Amino acid sequence: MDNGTSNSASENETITLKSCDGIEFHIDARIANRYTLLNNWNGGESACIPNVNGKVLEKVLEWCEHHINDPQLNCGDDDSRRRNTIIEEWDENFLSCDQDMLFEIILAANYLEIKPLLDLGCKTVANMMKSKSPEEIRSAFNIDNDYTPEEEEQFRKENEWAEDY
Amino acid sequence: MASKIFMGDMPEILEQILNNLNKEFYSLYSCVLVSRHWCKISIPILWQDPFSFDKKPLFISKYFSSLGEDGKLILKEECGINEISKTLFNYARFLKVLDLFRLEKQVKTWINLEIVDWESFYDPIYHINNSLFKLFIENGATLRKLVLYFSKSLKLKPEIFYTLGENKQFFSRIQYLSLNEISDDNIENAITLLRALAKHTKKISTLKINNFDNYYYETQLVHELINVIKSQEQLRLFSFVGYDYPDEFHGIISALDNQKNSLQEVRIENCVFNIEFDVLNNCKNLETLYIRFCDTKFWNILDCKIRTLKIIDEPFDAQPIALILEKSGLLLQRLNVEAVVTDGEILWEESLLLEAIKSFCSNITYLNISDLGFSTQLVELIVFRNIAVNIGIF
Repeated sequence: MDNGTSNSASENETITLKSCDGIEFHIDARIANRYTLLNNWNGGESACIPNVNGKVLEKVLEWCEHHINDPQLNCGDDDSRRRNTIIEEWDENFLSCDQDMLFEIILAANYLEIKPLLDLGCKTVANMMKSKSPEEIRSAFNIDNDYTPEEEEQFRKENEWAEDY
Repeated sequence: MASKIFMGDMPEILEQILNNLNKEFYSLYSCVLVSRHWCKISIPILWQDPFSFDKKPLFISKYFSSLGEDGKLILKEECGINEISKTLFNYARFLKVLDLFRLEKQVKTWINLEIVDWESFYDPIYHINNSLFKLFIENGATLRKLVLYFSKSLKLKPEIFYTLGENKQFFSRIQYLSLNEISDDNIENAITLLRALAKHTKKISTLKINNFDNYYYETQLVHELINVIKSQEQLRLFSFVGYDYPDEFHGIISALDNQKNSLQEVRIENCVFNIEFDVLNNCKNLETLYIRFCDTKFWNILDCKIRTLKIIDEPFDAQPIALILEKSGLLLQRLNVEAVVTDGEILWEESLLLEAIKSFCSNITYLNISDLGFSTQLVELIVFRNIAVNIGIF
């Protein structure tokens, strides 16, 4: 049985990744082995990762490095991971950055298919919404209310059973 | 400006964020009212398991708007429900979790709250239960989780089973099935439902059978249950809790042979192992074994190599546990042995357990043994092995 921690690359092997603004990162090849899309951009000279700038890529790689020895989950484990919002201390500190950076990390994790980091980012944002009113959520994430008053009232009426907490 | 995550460009990410709020009813309600885009994403999540809402189940009346004219007429004539307001969504199609125990309980609560003269009607619970069940099936709901519970009062109309046959999607994506108490008055309903499950459900990954009673063996139920087990493509977790320590299983445990390549976790409670359990030795990917209050006499038939072993029992005989430890050897990483003391005295032969761990299981990283005496063996394990130990020492 494979516990999911084995990597074919050795500890000393490194690969080079380049962000979309041209910053190079030399990383442990085992990180790229875990996340296929990172491996695809191992090219040094010309290959660079579109859509992810150096500042964000640095954070993403810092997370990957910290979690290099984590067991890889089966596809079927995803549901149970998603269903709780408990976040480990290191990860919580790691994502205690400004909101723009948090959203950029989520987008990068989604783009690079780093699922555990995407899950973590999504949990963090979900925790920011817990027990908040609609107005508080709009204000926290800068969202405009595009309902007509009649529409909003109708949805409020149909779902107000859930307001009882 | 808001991040594009929230503006409709990346609906799959917003959906993943809001999925974390599953069962946070108030938070999801707030999300519904944030904007039109948020409403579209959060409504299906809010309505996937409303019966687990533990406050007033006022959501029930919102379903009635999706009933056909015949259904509305039944509610009017049999339950006195005259006013049904129109809703913006057909909420029934979002249901993903159906627990028959909670359905019945919430319907009873709703009737008490909303139908003033409910006592003047004959069995309104029966009519509302059946109306809702039929509505979910016919409106395109696709369940992920089904908890079966057949109380004496939960009677299903024959048309429900006909509707199930016509709407195969309802059962087709169930991943979690739990079979609980079945009243002997209701066993025919349970058999018919299990037959439909065996026919339409192939994706169950978790199957839990609770309080399986001996009298079920005299019925067709066992045959249908075996069919359910055999017809799954990839069962990963199987749990069986016996009622009154059964020592015959009539092929239910043996049916796991069809799942020998996928089964990863087995939990057995209140049973006496017999030769059927031999099938576990064929499960090459079995990683976790949880045994609670099972007669230890026949444990020697177990020859599985596992990573995680959890045993909860009255502490009589450590020999069978030591034998499993020897067989699992280097593969065993997590060991949890909890004694449930009934007479105030701990009788674990702890030296035998510790010796087995020391001799065969050098890869253990987590050890939890309750009520263990302090000994040199224990100190050796803690000091010389890098084990996270959680031991209740007395």
